[in-house]
Amino acid sequence: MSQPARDTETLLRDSLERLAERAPDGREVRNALVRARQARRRPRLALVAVAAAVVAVTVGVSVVVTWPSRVPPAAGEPVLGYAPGWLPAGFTEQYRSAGPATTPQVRRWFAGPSRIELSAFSTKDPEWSATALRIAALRDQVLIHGRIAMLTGSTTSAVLTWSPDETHVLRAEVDAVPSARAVAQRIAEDVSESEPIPVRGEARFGPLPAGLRETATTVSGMSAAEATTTLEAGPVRATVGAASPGIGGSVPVMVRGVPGAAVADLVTVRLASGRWLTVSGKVPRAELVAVAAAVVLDPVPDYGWLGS
Amino acid sequence: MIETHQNGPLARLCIVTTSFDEFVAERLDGLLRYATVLTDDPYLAQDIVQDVLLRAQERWAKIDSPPTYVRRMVTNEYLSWRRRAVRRVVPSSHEVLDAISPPAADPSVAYDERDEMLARLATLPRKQRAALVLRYYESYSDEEIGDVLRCATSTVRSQISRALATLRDTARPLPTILTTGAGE
Repeated sequence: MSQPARDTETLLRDSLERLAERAPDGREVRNALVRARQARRRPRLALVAVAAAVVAVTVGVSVVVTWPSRVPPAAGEPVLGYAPGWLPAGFTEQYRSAGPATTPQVRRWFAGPSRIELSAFSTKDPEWSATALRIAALRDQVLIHGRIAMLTGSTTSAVLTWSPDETHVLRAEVDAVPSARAVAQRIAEDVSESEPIPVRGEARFGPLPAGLRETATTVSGMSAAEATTTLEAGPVRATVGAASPGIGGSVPVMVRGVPGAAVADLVTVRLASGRWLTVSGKVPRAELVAVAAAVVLDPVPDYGWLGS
Repeated sequence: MIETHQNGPLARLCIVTTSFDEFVAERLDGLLRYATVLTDDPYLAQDIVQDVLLRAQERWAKIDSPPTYVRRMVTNEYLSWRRRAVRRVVPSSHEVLDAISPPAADPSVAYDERDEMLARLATLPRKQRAALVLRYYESYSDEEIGDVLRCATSTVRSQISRALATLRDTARPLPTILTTGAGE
């Protein structure tokens, strides 16, 4: 018997409701919020321990770092190649992400509900290869150092996209900021190519199972004490941070030689440092365990810029 | 605190004056569900909601409309993640699953249809998926979706129209075979 045809929209609603049932419970998020509140009450001295060996000199938004001896970086260490010379007052940097090949480079600054994001995309990425042509065909154009740029948005949100050269597309996004279009333009005008700034968190991938390739490293957090390092390799994501994932209904599994937990598409283990290493993705559990086992921990991450 | 709905138009019409803790107590589950639907990844959903709430907590008093702000930030975070991940995500392959265990027409067929729909959803461009989620999960109007996605209402309509067409075009007729193993 054939099934009765179901209306696409009805089926879509049903499917989304069903997907929503997979949502995690909020325990871990609540715990993280409490921890963040407690951390802010503690003396800031505690933050120094994390980056004790890192000498960071902050001038405006530029960061110069002297590296101590440390775990050798992975081949093709992710770096950021562009820096803003100006940002509105009150913004602190809380996110850096980069990766090999055409992985976008992303930096984010926040001031309460306001957000500024600077992204750099490679024109070797087909998604961005024709951007210059698309910009040239649009009406909302401005000039950034003589290059045509596209500016869209409203009074509080704006996106400015331009190609500083033939190999990159840059985008400045400004959200929940008064006079957003003007701010985006001012930011863009002062963006310049910088010495490569490494994105070095507290972990990097070791050898990966066949078929997986490292795609991005992200460091994020409002401060060094709340930092998280996230590594991505195709469908697999590895995170090291203070928070444990929700592990209700988990089963025990050995990870890195110590008891950990496995649930659905995730394995997690508490490291000797007290931090949690979590690897997730829609691949066989054995691969998740293998990825977790090979992750190389860096005892001296570069978290000094977080919150500055 | 006036609000009683987790999502939908009524939720957005209510004037909310609440503390951050009250907001989290009342909204967190709904936010996690929304983020899960958006990302198709409960763990990424948790990370995104956590990041957004951590930042919101910092300057709660300065946020005019917390429900709108937080939901918009969750959406932005998803679009940012997906901007990097869109080429790397490997959607569930029903062909592979079918090769292992062919689908059968049985009383749980509705479950299979939804699985199939979710697999098709996973192939959509990020903005189209977000537009569909806002329309069919959050029941947002075109104007509200445009506000969240920062695009014109006409663009919203065209995104949704194209997304629905893709979902319809890629729909596979469900098999009618029965796999009881019983011979004639």
